[in-house]
Amino acid sequence: MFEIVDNENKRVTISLHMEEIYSHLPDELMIEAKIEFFRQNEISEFCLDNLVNMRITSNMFENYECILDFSWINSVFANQKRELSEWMNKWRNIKLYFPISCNREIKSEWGKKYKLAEISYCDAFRLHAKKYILENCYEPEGYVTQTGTTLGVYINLKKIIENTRIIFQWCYMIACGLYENEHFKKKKNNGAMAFFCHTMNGCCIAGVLSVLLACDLVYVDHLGPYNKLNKIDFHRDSYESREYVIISDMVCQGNEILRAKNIVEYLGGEVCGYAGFVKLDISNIHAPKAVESFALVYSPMEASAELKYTITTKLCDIRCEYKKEGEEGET
Amino acid sequence: MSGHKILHISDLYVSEKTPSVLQNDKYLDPLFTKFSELGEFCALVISGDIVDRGGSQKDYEIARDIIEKIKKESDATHVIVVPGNHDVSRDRLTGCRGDRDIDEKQLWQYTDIKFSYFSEFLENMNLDADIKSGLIMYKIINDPRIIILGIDSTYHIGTTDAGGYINIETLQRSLEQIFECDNERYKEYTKIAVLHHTPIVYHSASQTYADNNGTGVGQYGTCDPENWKSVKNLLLKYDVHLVLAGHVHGTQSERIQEFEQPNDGIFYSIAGSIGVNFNNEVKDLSGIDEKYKRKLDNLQCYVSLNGNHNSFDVISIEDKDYIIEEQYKYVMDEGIGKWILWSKKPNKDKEEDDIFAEPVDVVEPMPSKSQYTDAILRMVRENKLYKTGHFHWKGYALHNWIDVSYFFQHQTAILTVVQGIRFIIEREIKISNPEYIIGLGVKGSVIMSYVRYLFPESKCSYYPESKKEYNKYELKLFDGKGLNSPIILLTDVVHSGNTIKSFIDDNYAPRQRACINVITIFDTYPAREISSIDDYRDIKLYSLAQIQVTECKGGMSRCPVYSSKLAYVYEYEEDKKEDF
Repeated sequence: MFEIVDNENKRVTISLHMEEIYSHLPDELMIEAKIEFFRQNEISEFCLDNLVNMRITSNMFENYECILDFSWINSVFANQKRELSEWMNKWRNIKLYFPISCNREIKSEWGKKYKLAEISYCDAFRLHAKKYILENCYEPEGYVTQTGTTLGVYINLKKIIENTRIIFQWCYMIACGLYENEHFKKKKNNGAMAFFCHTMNGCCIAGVLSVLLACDLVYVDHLGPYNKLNKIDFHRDSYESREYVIISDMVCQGNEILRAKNIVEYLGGEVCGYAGFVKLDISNIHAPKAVESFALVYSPMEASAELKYTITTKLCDIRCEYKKEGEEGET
Repeated sequence: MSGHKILHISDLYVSEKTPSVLQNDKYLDPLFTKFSELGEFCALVISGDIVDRGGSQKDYEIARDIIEKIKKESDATHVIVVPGNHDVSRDRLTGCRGDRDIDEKQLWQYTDIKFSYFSEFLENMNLDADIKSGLIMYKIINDPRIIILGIDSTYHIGTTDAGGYINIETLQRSLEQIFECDNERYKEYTKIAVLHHTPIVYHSASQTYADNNGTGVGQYGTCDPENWKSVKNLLLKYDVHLVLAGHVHGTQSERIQEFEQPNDGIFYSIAGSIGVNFNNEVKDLSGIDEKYKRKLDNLQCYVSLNGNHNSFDVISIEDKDYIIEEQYKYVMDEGIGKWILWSKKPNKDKEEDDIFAEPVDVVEPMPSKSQYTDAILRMVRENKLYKTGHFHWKGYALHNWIDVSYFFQHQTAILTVVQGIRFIIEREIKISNPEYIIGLGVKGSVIMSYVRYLFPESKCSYYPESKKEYNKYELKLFDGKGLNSPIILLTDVVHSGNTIKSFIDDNYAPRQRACINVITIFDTYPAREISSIDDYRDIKLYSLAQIQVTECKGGMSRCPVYSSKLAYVYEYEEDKKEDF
């Protein structure tokens, strides 16, 4: 189960679609047939079993509100409606979330019977993700970024990579972001979209996404403070006539993204965007609000303005107009 | 019998004056594409309303052309058609009355006249029919063993519309003729009844008896309840457990459960309309928001305001008792119309025994590792991945190498690798749920990301090949909690085994037993010293394929290939900053 539990607000948020696609695991047939997990949009008995087995009547969720998100769900089979209703009725307070693009039949049928939720699984996830990073991945020791800048904290995303439930959950959220982009969806449906990764964490994320969305994956081993590029890794035929989403674990200044973009373009491909788990605004890394800049990102490449960055040092502020009073620079 | 499919369509509404969407090629092209994806059908079943409002000769001619195309595109061998309420020629009935003193309410009895266009249409389609019988036509198909009974439910429809009613006397006589003399012969046949009016309606359908009676959604649909009870008992007598119908324009299907006792075991599969132009049903757009109106125009209104879509059903007959119904709907996606699978449901839950029963007539070959090895080596051959040249690695040089990047850049290739790895884990190492799976290096970590889908309970991580390129957090495994049970270590190529040894030295205490199962796509037997790895603190090496490489003993400085430029020299740039 991939529910998000918010103990503060006594709320459990569940994405029906995410439960559905991962309820098939381990599904060897899907792996073998190169079926796109993300396109599963009907509720299966496996998913229902998982929901039914969720111990909602236990003390843990007593008096909790449940939000069931119907995003990406196209149909609920008639013979499963009763079971789903029974499960929903067990909650003291259940609300349903329907996106604007939701199937009208589903919305009209279920929306009449239950209250509508104001927040989606995605909204709950963003709050949860920030909290998760702060509690689990925040290392208060400085480190040198891939481009040689020293930062005051380190976001240890390997902890997410090592937790199968979390990486599946986070990669699903990236997949949602990608699928909401019409350009990505169109290119992907034509088989002209692939992922490009250039770091260990990025490769792990891209690998999970690659199965989830049935997209090819291209890697460079690797870009960083020490490059180790094998010329044999470059197949021009793999790059040409395709567009790429650069998958990175964390985007700071965006320098690596630009370098990756250059490589892809040099080899004949095009980069249409980048996606990653965390976007870190290093211009205010020491300020408490730096936490606010942690988020799951997918940005189309046109939004490259985001890649403009400021490096502050003890000596001077390279772009003075960005310097804020009272803020100390970094070495 | 396995996997025989019937294409069920209903409510075509072909008309010269108010064209059905079937008369639009933009709609037909994706329909035919979907048919070709679905493969061959043994039968095409049309459950009524071929034309609109009684139709004309011309309407039926257009309908015949369309149905012939559908038959051709679906590769259907047999066609079964029953009439719907719109197929009754009301104009001709009115005309035949003339000045004669015939009660208008009794005009439905003039079968020849009310079906004059329809029977001509059947004749032109070369379909044998008895329009005066409750069983208007039937097909006995021997391969697969299916009997389709076409029932006329328009018995009481004359110049004015009425609910579904079946002439049970003639139906009974016809069924007796088919089955009584040879009932034993058809024992194993799947028997299917087709009629236009929906006997049972559960969800939000219009025109139901229950609605008309003001009792809400209920037990009976658009057939007269008492009449249908008699018909149903008759059908059950002849082992008919599947009923296909249309008329209500909405897809729905149910087994009788709570509304009727005892459960009669009939599966009612109701097809929506394939042809109705839902736009025509939206009479008044005055109250609708401008933006929505534009959207309706864009959609060309194949989707109605109440969410109904044009649809068709596919009935797959797995065996006599197990039937799966798939409902396909027409939706607009980015301005392009397409048919999508909307719902899929079986007529009953499959019993445990059925699910796990060994197939009688299919013998699955035992999988072996060689099938994955063969596939991998075939990819190496076909894509020329085995390179010859001078490969300068750190510390040693080789004259051959495998370009493994191909496997990672083509998902079909890596899926073959992943299946091979699963085979090794389950069949050779013999563990069903490995506790730890670790990817070694970038390529190992990509493999690990795929393999973790097959073993979602395992703890998964990665370890870099070269320590100095990564920080201490990236080098730490599972938060430094230690590896206390056997692990699966995934990598792409094992040659000297130095990277594996280095991994062990970094993560295990000296002289600690490591218990590592290394799985690699390629190992370079016999060039590598196997014993030096296998004996190294309990490592077991499993590979999917082996390649041979020649070591360049002299190194770059004395290599004849390098010095004479006899082959391409691959210089691996390591430890060098800012290449790009």
